[in-house]
Parts: sequence; structure tokens; C-alpha cells
Amino acid sequence: MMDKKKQPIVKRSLVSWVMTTSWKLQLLLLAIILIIVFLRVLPLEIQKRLINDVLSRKDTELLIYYCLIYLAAVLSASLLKFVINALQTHIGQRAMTDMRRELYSHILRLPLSVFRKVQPGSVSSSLITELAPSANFVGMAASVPLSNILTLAAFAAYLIWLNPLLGVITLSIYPVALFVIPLAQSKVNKANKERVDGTREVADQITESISGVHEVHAHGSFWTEELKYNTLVEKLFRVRITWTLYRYAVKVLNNLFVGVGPVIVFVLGGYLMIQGKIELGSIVAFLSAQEKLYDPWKELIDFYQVYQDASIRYKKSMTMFDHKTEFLLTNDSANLTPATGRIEIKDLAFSPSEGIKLLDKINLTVEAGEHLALVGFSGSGKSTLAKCIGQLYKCTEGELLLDGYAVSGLSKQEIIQHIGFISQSPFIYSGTVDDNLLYTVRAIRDYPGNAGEIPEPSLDDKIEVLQQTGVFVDVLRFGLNTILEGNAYPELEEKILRLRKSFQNNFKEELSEHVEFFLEDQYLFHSSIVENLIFGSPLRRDFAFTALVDNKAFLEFLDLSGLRLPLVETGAEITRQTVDILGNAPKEDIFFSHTPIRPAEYDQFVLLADVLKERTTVEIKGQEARLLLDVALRFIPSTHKIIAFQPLLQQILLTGRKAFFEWCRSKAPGAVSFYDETGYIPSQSILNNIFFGNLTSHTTAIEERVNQCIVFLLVEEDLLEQVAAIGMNFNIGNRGDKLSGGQQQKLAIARVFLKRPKVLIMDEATSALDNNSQGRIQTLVENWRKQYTVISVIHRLDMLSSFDKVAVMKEGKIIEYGTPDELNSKKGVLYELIHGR
Amino acid sequence: MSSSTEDDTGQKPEILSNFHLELDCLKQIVLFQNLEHECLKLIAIICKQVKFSPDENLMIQGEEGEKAFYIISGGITALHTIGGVEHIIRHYGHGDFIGGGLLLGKIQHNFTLRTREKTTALCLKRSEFLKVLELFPSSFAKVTGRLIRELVKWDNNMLTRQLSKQGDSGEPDDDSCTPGVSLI
Repeated sequence: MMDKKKQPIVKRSLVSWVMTTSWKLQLLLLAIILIIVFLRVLPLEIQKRLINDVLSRKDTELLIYYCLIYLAAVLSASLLKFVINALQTHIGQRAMTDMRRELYSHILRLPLSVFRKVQPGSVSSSLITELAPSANFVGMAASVPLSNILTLAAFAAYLIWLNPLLGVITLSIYPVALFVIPLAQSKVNKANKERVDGTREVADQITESISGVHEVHAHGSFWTEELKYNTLVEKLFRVRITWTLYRYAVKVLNNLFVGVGPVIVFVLGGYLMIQGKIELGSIVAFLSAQEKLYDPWKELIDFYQVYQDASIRYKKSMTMFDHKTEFLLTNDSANLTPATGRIEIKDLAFSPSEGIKLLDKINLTVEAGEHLALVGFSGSGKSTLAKCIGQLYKCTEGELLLDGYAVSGLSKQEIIQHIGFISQSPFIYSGTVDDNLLYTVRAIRDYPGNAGEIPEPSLDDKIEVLQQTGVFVDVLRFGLNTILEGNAYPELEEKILRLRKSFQNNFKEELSEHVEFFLEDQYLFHSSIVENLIFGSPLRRDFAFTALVDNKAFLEFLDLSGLRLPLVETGAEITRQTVDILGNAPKEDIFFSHTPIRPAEYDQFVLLADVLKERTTVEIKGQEARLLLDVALRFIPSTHKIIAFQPLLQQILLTGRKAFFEWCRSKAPGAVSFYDETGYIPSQSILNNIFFGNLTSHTTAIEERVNQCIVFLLVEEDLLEQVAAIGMNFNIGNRGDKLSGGQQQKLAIARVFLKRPKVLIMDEATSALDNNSQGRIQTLVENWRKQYTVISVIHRLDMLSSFDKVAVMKEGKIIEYGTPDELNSKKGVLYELIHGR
Repeated sequence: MSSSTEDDTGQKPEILSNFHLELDCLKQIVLFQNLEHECLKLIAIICKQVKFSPDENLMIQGEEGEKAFYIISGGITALHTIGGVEHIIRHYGHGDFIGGGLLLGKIQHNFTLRTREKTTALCLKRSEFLKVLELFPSSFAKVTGRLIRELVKWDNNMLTRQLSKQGDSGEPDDDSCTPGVSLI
């Protein structure tokens, strides 16, 4: 539950973070600081006594005694300084972590309208870059001023005690500096504000251009975008120069003031010594103290600059996000349980800003369990209305009621339990299928106090929604393509072996054309050369496919069997062809899918291609030969089309396979588990284990037939759920980039279906799907009539018959409303939209 | 990029790689004529050879497509559905290239493309094709120019056919507008 009295972070001052740091740590700091101040002054007195007492008495014992005290003081001060730095770092980093956490939490809850103005780049820049100096300041805030002011005061007192006149005159420079330096600093601050703004403008411009880079390419607006960016960068260049010059000016001024001190000591101290009014030891101590004054003074000035810089950046960051959340997050007196899903809209209007009305005079009632279609021209307000109902936007006029309660007054906690929203372009998060599937349910469970009350969906629940949305087969395929790790699934492996037999009995003949079986005397065109040679699964780490190129014993085998040279020659041919074909192509996966050379290692091979022009493969040794061998071992004839796989090499490798089998049994027994039709192959996927081979065709029709066969087998062995569960752990990559657009959309629909909301809002949710998938989901939703309220923004008007009501929108208003039959017979706007007249 | 894949040295390997075979196929496609050799090599590297079973749909009428096909072997039929009835528009075979237009932009298929027999085709995906064109700034204009020439040629053929149908009467037939199919 949120503390309602807690001040929002955007209203907190930077100094307030110093107050909230641990008092115990602060007291510890104070104690250490007092000791350090004493330890800093002590050497000065020792220095004076060494000159005045020890040298005049020529007392060696006393000399050693004072030197030891001096050394102990210096060592202790250094050690304690380190402790202070450690404490400062801890306090600063703790404060920064808290700042980042609180600010991020605040930003996430801000209205969507804020994010139309604030670029993602600015958010990350504020959270990561701009808050860093604040942490620096909070860490220093107590210790630096205190320790340095006390040190200065102690030195000052000591100087005045040594010689009041000389002391007062020497110290008189500092009040002048205290007046002049802040004046110069005000110029630094002004330039710094401009720098922060300028940096943010550049970051926003980068974010905008890169986010819309497809438009840049589509319109060829490279120079237009460059011009915008260059103008801002040039402006930032000027601002940074000004800022840096002012900062140096402050430093120069400070050095000037400090530098004048010794001159006064020379002139006045020298005069007093000639007059016999001061001893030599005192003058030396004076000069030494004068020099030591510089350090605390400099630290104070640096601290002052850090404070000014941090304060500006902190204020800018907080001002940017100084907006209020539109909706309650939680509600202690939650009253919407259970929801029926009746929606009533009276005179609703929505204006994102003054003078712009995206929705106006919307009146609508959707009874519980009724299905409403929102249709209309582009920009008519369909999606905006759907977003208002889903509490993504807050209507500015009128009433929007869910079960008689104003949606604007309901907490987010209540809304997410009862309303499910699916957008046209849903966002898929990095992680596994399961992470994304559970996203909506976890959102509810993660609410404070909810975890115990909301059960985690069962595997059956998850499988059900995956099947409903048509993504189950894909998830099953992810599971089938998984290579099981270690010996974690001994029972599963046994069952897979039974499946293999069942497959051979039932489907082997039918699918033999599309499977390349692991047969001892046949070359595997869908496997790499190394897999063909080993023809088994490595059991020892040094025999892992990727490690063999560095395995001395294996290399000796290659030499013995005469395989090394043909392999290196194959590697050389791959290198020549790849470099010739790709040239300067970008190092992206799409250009490298037909060569075993990976984008990240391409540059090495470009150099190697040059070497190959001058030397034969026999002359190539060392790392270069290793690279060629490595790339040859990875070569898969069916995939890597850049070179032709010569029949002679094929024969040599088949002979090599037999030779390796013999060699391994005698020289490295237990290193490899050879392919055996009765045993599980740990290095192969579940699917390849079932087939005891590789699937060679990947067209939709073949995959569908394979899926049917595999599902039949999995059901027979009661393995369907287990393999699906493995598939749910498939990592879908960065923002789901390993999924197709359709798979992403289906997953987004599935995650909302999983929480079974009473009101389902679909904002063109199936537009990215093919006709079959759209039909399947529409049929499913249709079956939910009377159970769940559905509001659907649709673009396919042939689906209208499955809705109870249709609202036709134009320019933010509902211009027609009724059942599909009523509106059709009326021959009004909907009729025109359908028949295109 | 060098151009050693060009047939100028006479030193090609004994057996041609699939890459070289596919490059030769691409050279036959009208849309890609005039493209730089380096550009064509990258198009050859991104295209994929796929084997289809009989009765497989390569394109579905009404759906948005993103792949063009060059038929290496086998046969394909273009079908147009009106009122639930499928009409054969035409047959395609070895050397035909279908769907070139949708390599340049999103288009809804106005016909279904179905294999008649086991067919092997080279598939070219729009997003990947456009990525290659981005690397060769002048290529986009060359492909578009070729596409427009083919459209004009197709338009002229239609016009000639329609005029010959009208005969001497000079009046258009009621059924002169037959469903169109992209022939490029």
C-alpha cells in the first residue's frame, strides 16, 4: 500500500536526501572527521618542534620520537581518509539508488499524455546520467564541508596562535575569495543549465530519429535528419565551451588567491624574523600550514561546484516529471467486486489539450456480456474511446461508469482485475514466453497485498489460452527444438526414446522424404562437418564441438587421418567466397545466414582473405590456420550455400567418421557417446531425438503435418504438457525479436485472456494476424457472449455480424448506433462503409 | 566488393554452389536487370530456396504478403475467388517470378498462389530485400523504373486486348473488366 502522506519525489529538495541518510553513519563520520582534523594539525607542531628543539639540542632520541609521531599522524590520517571516502560512497550510492527507484516509480505512473512530450531518451538520461552528480553531492554533503571547515579553522587558530599579526593578515585573503568566487560560479551555473537543456535536446533528437529510422530510410531523409542533429550538436558545442571556460576561470581565481598567501608570509614573516620577533621554526610551520591550507580550501571549492552542478541537474530532472498521476493506484475501500461488466457512457468528451477535442458527446450503454464493435473512418476516435474505457486516458467531460462506478474514481488495482486491454501494436518484453504470458496476472499479483489472494495460473490454464489464440503449436515447437541440459530429465529422455519407436512405426515412411536420419554410412547435409565427423554427443568438455579446434588430441587425429588439409582448404574457400560476396555489407544476421562465418568475426576473415591471396593453405599456420579449420568444422552444406560441397570431401569425411570412431575408442574412450538408435542423444533437440534425424523441409504444409504427427505421439506418451512447459521457457529475445509479428500479437492476446477480465477491450487486436487466425479468435470471443463484455475496434467489417451492437464513429462522435442488422437495413453510414460507396 | 563471382575468369569450381546457381536465376528476372552486380550478389545471399509440396498456398487472396517467388522447378497456379468459387487465372512454371511488386510495399494479394506439384522456388522477403536496396542508393530507382515499364507494358496489352474484343462496334463489352492479376 502506498503511503499517501509521503511527499512525491519531484517535490523533494536535493538537500532533503542528506537528511534521510543514516544518522549512525553520519555520527561515525563526525567522529572520524574530528580525529582527522587533529591529525592534520599535529604534524605542523611536530615540524616546528623539530626545528626549534631537536636541531638546537642535537638530541637524536627526541628526533626519532618526533619523527615517529609525525609518521603515525600521517598514516592514521590517510587511513581515516580512506574510511571517510568509503562511507561517503556508501551514503551517496544508497541515496542515488533510492532516488532512481523513487523517480522511476513516479515516472511509470504518470499519465500517457506526458510521454507524448517526453522522449524515452530523456527518461533514461535523467535516471542514469543526471542523477549521478546528486549522489556525489549527498555522499559529500556532511563530511566534506565539515572536515574541511574544521581543518581550515584549526589551521587558522594554529597560525594565529603562532603569530597573531601574521596569521590574521595571511587569512584575510579568504573572505575576499568567498565573495568573488560565488560571483564567477553564478556564470558557471547559467552555462550549466544551458548545457543540461542542450544535452537533453540532442538525446531527444537521437531518440526521435532512431525510433523513426524506417521513415528516414523510406523517404531518404538522411540529410534532413543530419541537419537537425548537427544544429543541436553545434549549439551544444558552444554551450559546453562556455561552461568549461567559466569552470576553469573559477579554478584559476581560486589558485590565484591561494598563491598570494606565501608571498605575504615571505614579506611580513621575513621582516618579523629580521626584527627577531619570530623564530625560524615558526616561519617554516607558517609556510607549511599555508601550503596545507590549499587542500581543504580546494576541496571546499570543488564541493561548492559539485553542489551547484548537482542542484541544477536534480532540479531539471524533477521539473521534467513534475506531473500528477491521473488515477488512484490502490483503493482501501475497493467496491468493484465482483464486476458484471456493464458500461455506461454519458456525454463523454476528451480533450488532450485546450482547443482539441478528440471525443465529444459520446453516449453509449454496453450491457454486461454484450459485444460492441467500434467502427469508423481513420481518426474518428475509435481507439481513443477504447482507451478512455480502459482507463488509459481520463475523459475530460461527462461520465464513464463501470457497474455504476465512475471509471476515473476506480483504482488501477480494481481496473486491471476487471478490464483487459489489447492494443494494435502490443509490446512484447525480453524474456521467455512464460514471462510474457504471465505478465498481466503478475501485474495483479505484484500489487501489495494481492499475492496471496490471486492464484498463479496453472499449466493447464496457460496451455488453454495458448491454444485459444493459436500460438500453442509455436510454443510446442520451441519446446521440441530445445536441447535438454545435462541429465535433468532422465524420465523425459526415456519417454522420448519410446516416442522414437512409435514414430518409426507410425510415421517414418510418410515423413522419410522430409527427415534426414542419422545413418552411419550416410552424410548428414543438415548437420555441420564436425557433427558429421563425431557422429555423436560429446561427453567431455574438451570434446565439445566448439572446443575441438583447440583439442590437441583431436588435431593429431585430423593429421593422422589426412583430414586437416582438406578442411583448411574448405575454410579457405568459405573465407574467399564470403568476403567476395559480402564485401562491406553490414554485419547483420540476414547477410550471414548462408555462411558459417559470424558477423562478429567477419573483420578477421576479411584480413584472412588478403593473406590467402598471397599464401597457399599449406603455408598458413598458427591462429590463421585455426580460424580456417574452425569455420570449416561449422560448415553445413544445406544451409551455407556460399560454397559447393564437393562429393570428394563428402567421401573423405565419411571415411573420417569411421576413423574417428576407432580412434576415439582407443585414444579417448568415454569422450563421445556415439549416435545409437536405442539411446538418447544429449547434443540434439527433442525433435531430432524423436526423429533420430534432422527435419529437412520447413514449409508451412510440412510443418503442419509434422506438428500433427508429433502432437499425436506426445499425447500418446502423455508428454504434450511437459514439452509445452519446456517451450514456455524459450527465450524470445530482445523485445520478442525471435517471434514473428503474428506470434507476438497472439501472445499479447493470450496474456490478456489468461486473466479472464470481465470487460475485454480489443483495439484492432487481430489486425496483424492472417485470416485464419483472425477468424479463430473472433469465433472464440463470440462464444463469450453473455459472459464477458467485449468492446472491439475493428477494421474487418465482415466480422460485424458476431457483435450485438455497432457504434459508427466520425470526427470524435458516434453517428450511428444499433444492431448490425438495424444499421444495415437503415442503409446509412455503416452500409456505405461496408459496400464502399 | 570485388566481382570475382562474375563469370569473367573461367575458373569457377567444378560444381557450382547454390549461391551461384541462384545468382544466375536472379539475373533472369526483368525487375533486377540493370542492378549492380554487387547488389545482385547480396540479393542472392538473402534469398532462400524452399521446396513446396503439392497443394501448398504460397499466397492467399486478401492477405498481406511479404514474399516474392522465383520458380526453379515445378508448377504453380494463380486462383481468384469470387463468391466462394475459385477461378484459375493462369499457370506458372520454371523461370517465372511472381510478387515482385510487393517487394517494394505492402500489398494485399488479389489472388491465391497454389502449387500444382512438388515445386522448388527461391523466396525473397520484402524487409530483407529493402535492406539490400538501402545499401545501393540508386538501385531503388532502377527497380521501380523496371516495375513501371512492366506495368505500362501490361496496361498496353490489356488495352490492345480490350480494343480487339470491342471489334468494329466501338462499344465496350459488359464483361470486359476481368479480375486483374499482377503479372510481374
